[in-house]
Amino acid sequence: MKRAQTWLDGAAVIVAILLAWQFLSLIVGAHVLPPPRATAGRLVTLVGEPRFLADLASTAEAYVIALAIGMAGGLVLGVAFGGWRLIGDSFEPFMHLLVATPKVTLYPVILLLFGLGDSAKIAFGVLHALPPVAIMTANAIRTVRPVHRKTALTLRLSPTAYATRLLVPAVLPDILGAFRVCFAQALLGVLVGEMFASTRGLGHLLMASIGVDDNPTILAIVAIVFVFAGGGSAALLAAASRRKS
Amino acid sequence: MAASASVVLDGVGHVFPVAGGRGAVRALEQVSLTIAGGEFFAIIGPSGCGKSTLLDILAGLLAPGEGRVTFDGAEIRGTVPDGIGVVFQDDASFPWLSVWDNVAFGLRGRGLDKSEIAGRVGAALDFMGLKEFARHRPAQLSGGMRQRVCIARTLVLRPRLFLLDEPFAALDQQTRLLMGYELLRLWRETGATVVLVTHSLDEAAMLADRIGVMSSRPGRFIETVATEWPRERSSQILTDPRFGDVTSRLWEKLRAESLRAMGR
Ligand SMILES: Nc1ncnc2c1ncn2[C@@H]1O[C@H](COP(=O)(O)OP(=O)(O)OP(=O)(O)O)[C@@H](O)[C@H]1O
Ligand SMILES: [Mg+2]
Repeated sequence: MKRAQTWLDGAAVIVAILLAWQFLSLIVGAHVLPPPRATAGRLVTLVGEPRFLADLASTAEAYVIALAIGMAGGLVLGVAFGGWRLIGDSFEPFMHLLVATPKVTLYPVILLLFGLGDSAKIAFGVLHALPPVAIMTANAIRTVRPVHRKTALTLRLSPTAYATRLLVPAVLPDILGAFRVCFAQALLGVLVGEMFASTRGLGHLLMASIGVDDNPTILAIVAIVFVFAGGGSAALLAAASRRKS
Repeated sequence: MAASASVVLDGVGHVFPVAGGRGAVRALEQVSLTIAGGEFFAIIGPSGCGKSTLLDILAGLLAPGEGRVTFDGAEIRGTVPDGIGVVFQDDASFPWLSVWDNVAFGLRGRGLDKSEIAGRVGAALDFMGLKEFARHRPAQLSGGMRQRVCIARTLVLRPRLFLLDEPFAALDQQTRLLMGYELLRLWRETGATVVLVTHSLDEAAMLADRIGVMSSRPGRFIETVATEWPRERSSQILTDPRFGDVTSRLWEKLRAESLRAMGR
């Protein structure tokens, strides 16, 4: 019952977006903003082009790697920051600085370090994805309630049992939240990385299309990214709320 | 009954450093006390006098800055020995586990077989009146019920020494009374030593063999009052004229200290 309702709500949002898009397209003109139908048509032809598929695969590969490194690295750093005060005090401010800095300004440095190519855009994805995960994980570990820690001690839990049976479940909701942020940030980082300096990937295709005013292609790519990011985020949210109930 | 010493506190004191390194809070000073095996000992004292700190030291969660503590003859110093069960002042149930899994938590990973665990958990849930809530999450329970979950979680480990820090503070008066009797039953049936911190003079007077009255901070025992109730005691104690004597003695001692704790 509740599930059907959520599904209907989601469908309503999609219909509303499509209607608004169509309406806007009518106002500004189809050559500036191609309507949903034309975009869908372009999407179908794009999917048939080997070049596009290669771009898509390149982005997907970089994305998965950036996501994995960002999440795993963020978790490891977060545990270190949250678990050992000295490490946290010394290195966590650095993470906050990274989160606050517009990362585009760091792009020249990344290019110097990694050169032009796939590793640069992966690095850029990691740069976006890792710091928030590290910070959120550290905070989650710090907020483990003292009375739970004391309980673990009085139940004479081993350090391993403490980590797996108390720490992990206690911080899991926050880690799921961190994963959602990581999911979005890694995508952003990789795409922006591709836009600025890369010879392949969706970001590069987007930039090239902007160069030749190929608006249907631009919109088709935006639609893909939008559906992927929106769908992924919604799925993660649903997973998180299912855990809660 | 053979009254061998279970817990001995000898000149225990503790000072908490204050964050920032300036000044310090002396929570306990020269606390000396012997609690016999199988005794029901209650601690009362003004708020902030160091009762929870004392319990942390007894549990081995905190190493005392001064003095020493022994449990069954062995020194306790900052590590929790086997045989001690603690129920904390704050709700310590795990929100991500069902009531059943909360109660079974401490039994897992101890090499007990499944049927043994199930038997102990079932009995503890029964004892605490939580049987129908076995599949509930703590968030679906009242504060008092959550505290019962924590008592059950400690109970299944069959501790020889039970430390309870105001376990009934979240309960209404009548439930509190009933829980007090459940605690008495538990004490009688397990033969464990019980140390109960409480804010309620009546509760202390009704349940305990002896009551230690603590001074305002830095806490120490200014008086211990023996009730001399029989081991098989019931709510009839409330109508016993000696009950009034005990509570008025406690109040007499506590009044001045409580005023002092409030800075008057
Ligand atoms: N971890 C700590 N760090 C610094 N000071 C502490 C710490 N724990 C307790 N104190 C201080 O020690 C004193 C005694 O605290 P404690 O919690 O033992 O009192 P209590 O008698 O249990 O009080 P209550 O009746 O309100 O529960 C208080 O002044 C408190 O501020
Ligand atoms: Mg206290």
